[in-house]
Amino acid sequence: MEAVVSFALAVLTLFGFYALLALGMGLIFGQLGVVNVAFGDFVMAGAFVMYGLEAVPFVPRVLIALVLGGALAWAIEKLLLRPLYVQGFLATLLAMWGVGIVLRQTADAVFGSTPASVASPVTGSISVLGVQYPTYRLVATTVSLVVVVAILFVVYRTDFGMRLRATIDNREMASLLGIPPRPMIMATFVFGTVLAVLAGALQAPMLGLTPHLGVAFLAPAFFAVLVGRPGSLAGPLFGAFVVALLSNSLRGLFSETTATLLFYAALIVLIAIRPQGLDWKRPQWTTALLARRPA
Amino acid sequence: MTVPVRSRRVGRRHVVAVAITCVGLAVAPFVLLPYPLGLLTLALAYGLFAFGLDLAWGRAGVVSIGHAAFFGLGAYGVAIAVDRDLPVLPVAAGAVAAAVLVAWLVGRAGLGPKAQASTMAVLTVALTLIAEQAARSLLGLTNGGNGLFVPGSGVVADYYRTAAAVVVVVVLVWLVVLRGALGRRFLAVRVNESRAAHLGIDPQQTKTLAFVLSAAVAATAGAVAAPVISLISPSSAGILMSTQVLVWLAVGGRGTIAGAFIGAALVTIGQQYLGDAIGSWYLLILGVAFILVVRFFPTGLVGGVLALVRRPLAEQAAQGAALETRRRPRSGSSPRDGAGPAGKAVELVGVVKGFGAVPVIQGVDLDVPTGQVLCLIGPNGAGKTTLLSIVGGDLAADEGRIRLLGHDVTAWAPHRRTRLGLGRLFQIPSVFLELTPRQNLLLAVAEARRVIELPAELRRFESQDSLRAQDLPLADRRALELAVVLAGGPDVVLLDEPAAGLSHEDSIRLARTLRAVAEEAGCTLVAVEHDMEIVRELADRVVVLANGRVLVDGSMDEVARHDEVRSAYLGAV
Amino acid sequence: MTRGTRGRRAGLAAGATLALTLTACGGSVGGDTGGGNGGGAADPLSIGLMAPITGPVASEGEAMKMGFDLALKEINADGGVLGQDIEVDFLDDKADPAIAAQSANRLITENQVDYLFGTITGDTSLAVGKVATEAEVPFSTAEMGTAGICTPYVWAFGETDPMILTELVPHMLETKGTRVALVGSDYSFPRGFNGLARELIEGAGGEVVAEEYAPLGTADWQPVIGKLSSAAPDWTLSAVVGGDAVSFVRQADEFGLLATSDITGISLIQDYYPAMGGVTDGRELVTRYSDALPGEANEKFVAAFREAYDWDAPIPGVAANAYEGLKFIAAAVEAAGTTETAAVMDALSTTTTDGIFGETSFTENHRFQTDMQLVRVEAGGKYVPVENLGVVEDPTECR
Repeated sequence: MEAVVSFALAVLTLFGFYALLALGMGLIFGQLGVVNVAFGDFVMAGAFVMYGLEAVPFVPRVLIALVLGGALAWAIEKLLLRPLYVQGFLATLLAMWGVGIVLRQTADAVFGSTPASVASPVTGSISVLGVQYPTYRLVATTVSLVVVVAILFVVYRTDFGMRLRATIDNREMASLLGIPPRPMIMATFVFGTVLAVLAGALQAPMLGLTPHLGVAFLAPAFFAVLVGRPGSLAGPLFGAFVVALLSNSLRGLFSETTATLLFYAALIVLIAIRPQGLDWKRPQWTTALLARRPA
Repeated sequence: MTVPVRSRRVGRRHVVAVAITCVGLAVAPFVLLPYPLGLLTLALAYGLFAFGLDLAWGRAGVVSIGHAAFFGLGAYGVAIAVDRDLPVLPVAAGAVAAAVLVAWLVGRAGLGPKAQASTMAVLTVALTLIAEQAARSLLGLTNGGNGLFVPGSGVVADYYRTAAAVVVVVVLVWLVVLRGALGRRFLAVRVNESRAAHLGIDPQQTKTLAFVLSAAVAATAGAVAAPVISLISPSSAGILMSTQVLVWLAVGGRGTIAGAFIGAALVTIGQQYLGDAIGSWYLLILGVAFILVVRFFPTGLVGGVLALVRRPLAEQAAQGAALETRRRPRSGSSPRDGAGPAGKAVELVGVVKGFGAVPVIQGVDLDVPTGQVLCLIGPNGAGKTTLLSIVGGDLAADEGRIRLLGHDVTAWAPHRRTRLGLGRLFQIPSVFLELTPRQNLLLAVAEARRVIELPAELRRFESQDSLRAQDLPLADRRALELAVVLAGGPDVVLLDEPAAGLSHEDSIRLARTLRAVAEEAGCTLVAVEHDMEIVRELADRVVVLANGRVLVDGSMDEVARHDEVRSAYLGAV
Repeated sequence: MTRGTRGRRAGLAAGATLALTLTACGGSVGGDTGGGNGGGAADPLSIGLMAPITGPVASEGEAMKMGFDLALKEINADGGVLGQDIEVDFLDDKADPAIAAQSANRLITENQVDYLFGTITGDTSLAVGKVATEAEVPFSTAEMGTAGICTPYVWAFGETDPMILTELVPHMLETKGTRVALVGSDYSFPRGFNGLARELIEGAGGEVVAEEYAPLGTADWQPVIGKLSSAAPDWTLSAVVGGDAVSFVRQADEFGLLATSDITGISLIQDYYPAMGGVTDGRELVTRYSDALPGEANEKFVAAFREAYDWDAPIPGVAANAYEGLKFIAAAVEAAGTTETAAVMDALSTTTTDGIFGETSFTENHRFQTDMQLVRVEAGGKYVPVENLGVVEDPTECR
């Protein structure tokens, strides 16, 4: 029983973290067709803001991190990505790779590469069905899941969410219906990035922070996005759950390294036999622009 | 059709370029100090790696974000051979063969008809992650994270060996692949996969070949680089190396040989000297510089420079592929051998197709005799385009059989149907937009089933070589698409609203051309058309489709008289 | 074998245009490509320093360079070696073996250095060791181990696995209990370190109840900690390194593993202390260096280091090793009276110094011998020596 409970808690914790990442990455991917390879580095940036502003109380500090991350995302979308969409996904992928380098090196220049850490606002552990579990983990997981539920609510139950889904589904049609695509693209990128920053800020007290921290989160988050059912915003959530479950089960059964190898092998097989499970949405307006240009 | 051949596979300027490069490479050790020479050696080996990736990414448009897996395979092949006192060459060859095998498997999985660009991206990322972890964990074979040492044989000897290997591999690949049929097909598939398929090129096979070849060159580069790197560690096969090579290519420029090498050299050598100059800040500076290149030189630095040099447009567009061929038509298909029993060109039996829960085609039976011009009409949503796509092979029918020129082609991919004698025109003209009209035709001729003479009306494209197809007005692009399809020597041509978007005069002219083609070349035509005037001009027979079923089948006059049709569709006429 | 191999630098680079100045004279062909360093008696001692100041192990690289630079400043202020200042050429090896090998070649052929010093990661040390041996130039690292490189030209100043473990294991078995869990980052050094520990533990009647390795970059240690906890060890020996060490130890504390069992090992070294948030306070480990070591030489070094680099945290061992290493090399060259390789190598094997660690010398198998310390971590990052273990022999032959 205890084993089951701790396994469930472990899956839930990891799911909370990857759900934020996958949702953010999935939104950006679905709306902009951008594979955001700097996503892990935004997680790192969120964590380092928490470290750098240690004097500020925890909750306001998280909010500051979100605002800073949003502002950065705004600048990146406006100055870097906007002219690159028409060139296809590799151009934006490479651009984001460059952003990742700059983020890592900036963190390195400002904070150095000696591991750093952030004090946890809540210490101790509480008993969950007979299993002692660190309180802060439960808090962080709960916050993550609440945010995820709130996002789902916004996306599926509000007017804004409907516009969002409309633009992701068919930008031209949405545009004809009076939903301006530019602000929606911007909003999606900023919002997706803020989710990464939030994940990093929440995760910070559990981690040894180095500028290279984020690289390890990229592949699982990417897989989570791609494993999910196409065309649905809940897809990445499902993917995050698959990743959390698969990762924890394998790591429970095998040695860490074998688990890592099996994890990637399982994903390869999953993707090879079900390529339809992936959603590589080339933004419709790109196609439209390309087709229109010669006319 | 015969298009005069203007350039040869190996021109004089190619020989000159190779000669200058060889001399330059041979002289380098006499002017460079050992350290810069060592860096140049490393840059050459890395350049070969980038060149390998370019075969997939730059030439055939196949994405690989994990190419270091192949590079590492080659490097570890040499390292393990040295470590265990095995003969190096056979083991290295084995490593290259292993890379080919792995690439073939990945290509089969990731480049299938249902796969998308993301499939390859994910598969290759996972591949490099696995390769790196395996190298770290297989302690007995790879010595784990500490890596294996591969002794060099002196700066100068290493340099000459590397340079020689690079020149040989690049020249061979260029000569055999890039200047050959494969290079042409890479270009066709990259620029317009659907049109390539409808010229008879197998896109999956072509892309898989590009990827396999690219993996083989990358593995060779790894083997060549091993003594230069001197210590082969798991990072040689890892994700960072994989992204480095993307960066080299992005900086240098894809689709050019020089781009791959200049990108690798600039970054490899540049970061050393920049690092010396400004210490640890160099990475930040390089990150910013990289962003600027991606943002302002989307075609890479070489592409940026070439854009300043005035070159013939055709040359720019072709990316060095030799499009002009003196080939004979595909063997085994003499003209007019394809007509089926009782002269049926197309036969549909009980064809059913739905999208999700929505039925679109609900049981269509249709015979088209050889040489007939058939027009499909019907209200919006009747399933006309869907039916055409099912015949063309772009969509698979849920039920029923499709016979083409006497063969059951139900399960055939578009390129096989094309080779059998099918030509397909799309609602939005599908041509190679980046290429000139002449190059479009050359590609079609190269894959043609037989040599045919284009109608006089379309022959103007044969010499139009100074603008890209995307700069043609719509009417001309549609005519070009027709020329491209006809140049392939089809027996059956499918057209989807050939007159859409054309002016009245243009569409009438097009209809007359089509009619002439049908009569002179004896082609069978199946056209979807809305414009009744065109239909009247064109059709021997009209089939009205409504709600996924054949409503009426007869001559234009018969159809026009039909009450149901009038009420359902022709009310306005 | 050194700790801290964290894969290749994260670097990559972009094309900044660079003006590659080609020297018109003296190409590679026909020139002296064999390396060699025929320093005459009047030559200044010239040392090539390589440290990864970019990439994932940059913090170790920086620390090593700090210690080295401090010793250099002091030696030159005291009149240098053989009456002349030591000359140092520095290159960033970027923790990349290919770059490290190229850099070593460059330092030997272009700068004609007499001595190579530096590198952090095991693969770069190995690469440079091979180059140095081929060129017959002595080479020293300041990192732990380097036991894997056995050539007459390699003189490593780091402490090796046996030096750390031989006394640590019996001490822990005796005071904490016999059930031991081993954990490490998944690459050669931790596996070798823990492999030796297992031998020692089992030889001394202890029991290894769990052994786990996780790839570098692992952020979530929950499954590992779960496996360790369920094995109920009396203590854990951790060879988890870098940022992962902090993640592992903090999460082990979160999940209560540290409440029920003790911990020791590489993860506790000074470099990671500031980020541990005090959870390692009260734990013991064996190291060679602590800034709280008694002795005038060390007090002077600590004061100078803290002042020169405005340093409050515990001083990393690698900085002390580099500092002492350069002092030792200077003493050996002074004793040799020349910078010629053969004489310097002879002197290295016979020189003894009395420095920040106490008495030091090289053994016949090129182990840098000095007293090892049992150290207790105390609040605020004081690494308090509780017992001088004396010289701990490392008899291992070259592998």
